[in-house]
Parts: sequence; C-alpha cells; structure tokens
Amino acid sequence: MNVSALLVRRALLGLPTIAGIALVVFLILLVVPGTPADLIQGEMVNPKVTEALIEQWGLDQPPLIRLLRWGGSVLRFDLGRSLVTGRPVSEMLLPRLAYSVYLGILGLALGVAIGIPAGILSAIRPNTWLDYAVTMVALFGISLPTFMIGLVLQLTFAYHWRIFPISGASSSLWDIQSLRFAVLPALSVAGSQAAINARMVRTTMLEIIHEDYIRTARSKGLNEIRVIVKHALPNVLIPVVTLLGVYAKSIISGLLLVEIVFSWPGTGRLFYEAVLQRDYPVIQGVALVIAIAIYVVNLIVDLLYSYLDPRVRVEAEVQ
Amino acid sequence: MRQKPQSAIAPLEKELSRTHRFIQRFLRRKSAVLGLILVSLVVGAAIAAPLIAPYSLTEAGESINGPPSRLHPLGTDRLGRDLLSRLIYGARVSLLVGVGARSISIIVGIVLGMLAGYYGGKVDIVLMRITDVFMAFPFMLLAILVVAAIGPSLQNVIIAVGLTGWTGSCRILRGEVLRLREQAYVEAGRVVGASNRHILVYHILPNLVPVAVTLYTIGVGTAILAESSLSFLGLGIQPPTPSWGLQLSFGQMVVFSAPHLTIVPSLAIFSTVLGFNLLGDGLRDALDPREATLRGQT
Repeated sequence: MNVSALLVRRALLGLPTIAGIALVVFLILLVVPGTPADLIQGEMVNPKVTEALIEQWGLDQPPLIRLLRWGGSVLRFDLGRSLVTGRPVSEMLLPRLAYSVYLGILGLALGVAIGIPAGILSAIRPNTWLDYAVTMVALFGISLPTFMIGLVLQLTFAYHWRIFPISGASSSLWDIQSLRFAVLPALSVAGSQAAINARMVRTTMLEIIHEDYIRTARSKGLNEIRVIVKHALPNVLIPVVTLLGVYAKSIISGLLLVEIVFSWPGTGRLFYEAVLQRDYPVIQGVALVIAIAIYVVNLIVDLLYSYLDPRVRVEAEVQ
Repeated sequence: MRQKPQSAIAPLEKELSRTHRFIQRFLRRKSAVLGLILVSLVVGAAIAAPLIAPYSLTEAGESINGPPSRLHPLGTDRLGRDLLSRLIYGARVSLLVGVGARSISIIVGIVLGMLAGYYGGKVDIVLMRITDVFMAFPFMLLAILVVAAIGPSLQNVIIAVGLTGWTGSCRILRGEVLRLREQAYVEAGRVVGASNRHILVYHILPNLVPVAVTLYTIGVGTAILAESSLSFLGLGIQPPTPSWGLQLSFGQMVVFSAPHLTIVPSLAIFSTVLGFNLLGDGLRDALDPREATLRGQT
C-alpha cells in the first residue's frame, strides 16, 4: 500500500464522521424551541401567518422526512434557503467563509512564525532568563481565552495607541487595507497557537538535540545555525504539524469569539447569529461546511506529515 | 513468629511511602505549587465569600462604572455594585460550573472508556466512531447549540459544557483500560470466575483513578473558560448571577471608558484557569515521573 492509497483510505474514513456531525446537529436542532416565524413578522404577530410560514418551511413535517429532504438536497449541493432572509444559504456562506479562512490562515501563520522561533530559542538556551520568559508567556497564552487576548489587544493597540482599527473589516480581502483590519484579530487567534507551538517545539528540541545525528552534524564542523535549521528543524516540525490537525477545531472555536469581538464578518458570527435567530438551514449549512473544513485540514496534515516524516512513507509501503 | 506482624504492616508502609514520594515529587515543582496556591485562593474565596466580600451582591454604590476608589477597591459595575464583592461571589459560580461540568464529563468518559476498552470489538468500534464525531466538531459551536436547545441558565451551562467535554478523557481512559485489561490480576480475576462487572468495578476502576483525577483537574480550567465564553456571548449564565464571563460581557460594552470592568474579570478567569492547568500538570508529572523526564521537565 503506498501513500496515496493510505490517504484515500483516510479520506473515506472521514466521510461518515462528517455525516455523523450533520446528524448530531440535526438532532440537537429538533430540541431547540422556536422558529423565526415570529421574528419575521415584527411587532404584529399573527398566529395564522406563523402557522402558514411553518408549513411553507416544512417544519411541520416529521423529523425523518425533514432529515432525508435536507440530506437529499445536500447531495445535490443545495444547502437550502435562509428562513430569515430567503437567500440561498450557500450564497450567504461563501463570502463569510472567505473571511474566516483568511483570518484563520493568517492567525495560523502568525502562530507558527512566533511559536517556532520562540520554542527553538528557549530550547537552545535552556534554564536561562530567555527560556523562563518564553515558558511564562506561553503559559499566559494557553490560559487566556482567545477573546480576552482580543479585548486586551483592542484596548492597547486600537484604543490606547490607535495603530490599528478597533473592529470591522474592509469590503474586499484583496486590498492592503484588509490586512490592517486583520492584524489584531489574527494575533488573537495566533496567541494560544503560538504558545502551544513554543512549548511543543521546546520539548521536542530538547529531546533531539542529544541525538547522534545532531552530534555528527556538529562534529562535521557545521555551524550551529546550520545544525539547527537543516538537521533539527525538520524533526521539530513533525509534532507541530500533527498538532495542527488536533487544534484545527479549537482554532475555529476561537475564531467564532474573535469574529464577534472584532465584528469580523466570518462564518463563526454567521453561525452565532443564525442560532440566535433559529435560522435552521443556515445553522445546518454552516455546521456542515465547518465539519468539511476540519476534515480537509486533517487530510492536508496527513499529506504534510508523510512528506515531512519519511518513516510514515516507508511504513505505508511496507503495509 | 517475628515475621508475621512485619508482613502485615509492609503493604501499608509501601502505600505510605508511595504517597510520600508523590507529595515530594509534586512539591519539587514550583509551578505545581503555584497552581495549588492559585486554586486554593479561588476555593477559599468561594467558600468564605460572605465573610470576605466588603458589600452584598446587590448593594448599589454612588457611582456607575466607577473607577477603583477607597470605598470600592476594584471600582463599581454598570449598576453601581461593588466589583470586588461580585468578583468574590463569582468564584462560586465559576467553581460550580468547573466542578459540575467536569464531573459530568469524567463520568461519561469513564463509563464509555471502560466499555470500549474492556469489551473491545464492535462495542469499541461503535463508541470510538461516536467519540470521533464529537471530537471532530468545534467545542464552542456544539456548546452553543446545546444551550440554544435547553435554554441559558447556570444548570444548563453545566450540562452543555459537561456533555461536550468528555471526548478527550474518554479516549485516554480507553487506552488506559486497554493496558489494564492485560494485567495479571485482571486475568486472575477472570480465572476465579469473577463477572465482567465485578472486574470492571473492583479491578479496573480503582486503577483508573490517578489518570482520571489528572484529567479532571486539567479539564476544570477548560470548563471554566467555556462557561466564560458562553456567558460572554449572552448564551450562558444570566444576570443577576455574578459570573465572571457575564461581567466581561457587560464590561466589553464600556471597555474604552471603564477598562477595569474588562481587565479585572479577565484576570480572575485567567489566574483560575492557570491555577488548574498548573495543578493538573503537576499532578500528572507527580503520578507519572517517567513522562515528566520524557517531557524535558517543562
């Protein structure tokens, strides 16, 4: 069995999980009380209109029929229409998804860019003030929830020093202005990621620094930077990449709160608003897309993993 | 004759020295001790709240969103109530959620972990697939959905956080059961004809306790964070209950004119979560020294 066969197997195994998530979300929504019918009518609520709306939406149908209908339309790439706005869910979702992915990738990149060098520095100078400083800051990063990091950043860099905008996003993601809006929310997302990466890198680095191949590289007369970057770094990256898959969902949880703190128009806020409005098709649509996103991230991690760690490739071929 | 009393005491002595070693290992780590101190402070504040809080929960002062002053060391909130007093009472709410939710999670985790690990086969496959589903979905989104279904209140937040936070412990405990199942004393139990239930309850469960305690402690911090996030979104605990997350949620509205209303509850949540994280880390390393040396004594 080669790597691609292994990946195909993993890919197929993930599909029932996505279906399971969709089912769990559907089952929970069955218990959620209320519909947007009253909300749409505003001040004057007419019970007859409410009844007609519920019938029109098909919410009076038995759960099994509703589930099969929804599942059927999803298989035809149709997520249905929002009960509140009447627009197709996919049309509402896609621009929001772009904003979330943009912020997520930026946050992830910052988390790697801050966390890995910090971890390496503290590992090559263990038990110095530098090491202690990194360890302390990392502990802060892990114990502070994402939205609190966001609030603190907002207070310092947007209100006190007015370097970055307090909240919001530019209408297009493709101009340079969008980056200015994204810096603070991305840093909030990056905070705990950087902390986890730094701790992970430090531990791994301390383990492998005593390995034979590092000693060999040093005794060949290579300078320290070359030893670290060329020989140690690739091995340090393996646990970081593995963790990426595990933390993909916590990044999405964090994004939800960061998007609310910074009024960032992403999927997390869409989900939150949809839950408040009881907009069932939107909730189900967003949940499905998020489940798929996590699935894709994990597949990418598997790919990267087999690329970074030749042992995985060899094992796959032996099997 | 002289041998007899000695051998009767020996297991007890061994047990004592094991506890002693555990305490020694725990105290050797400064961060673990710091965690213990932080957690003790929060627990102390929660228990002694009526004694140490300078004001009652509802007593309104003269200023609204007032800055720290001599009368109100941490200032006043949006209704003019003393922030320090509400912060002290808030420790009760946070601990209640942390302990309550975590108890639900760990019970679900232990039961499912024992069933999956001990029986294996189809039971294992089905339970692990279900765990996969819950693990693959962001915790916050699931918790928001559950609260939307059962309504926001203190009790329901505990249920929502508890029912969404069991997957990690379940996985680890299952692995632990897989290891214990192969131990000689379990096999011995089976040989003398003990029922599966007997083996699970009397031979496997007691040996899960150290791991479960560690998982429990580390999870309390996460549960408190989840409560504050939910309350921050307005989907958690409702006013007038003095929740730290709720204080943050109102604080955020006036974050620029009265930053102390955001900073103070943030610090409370942060130090509590930090305390439980450090305590959990310390417990884990003291229980499993091999792991500690592997992790480079971080």
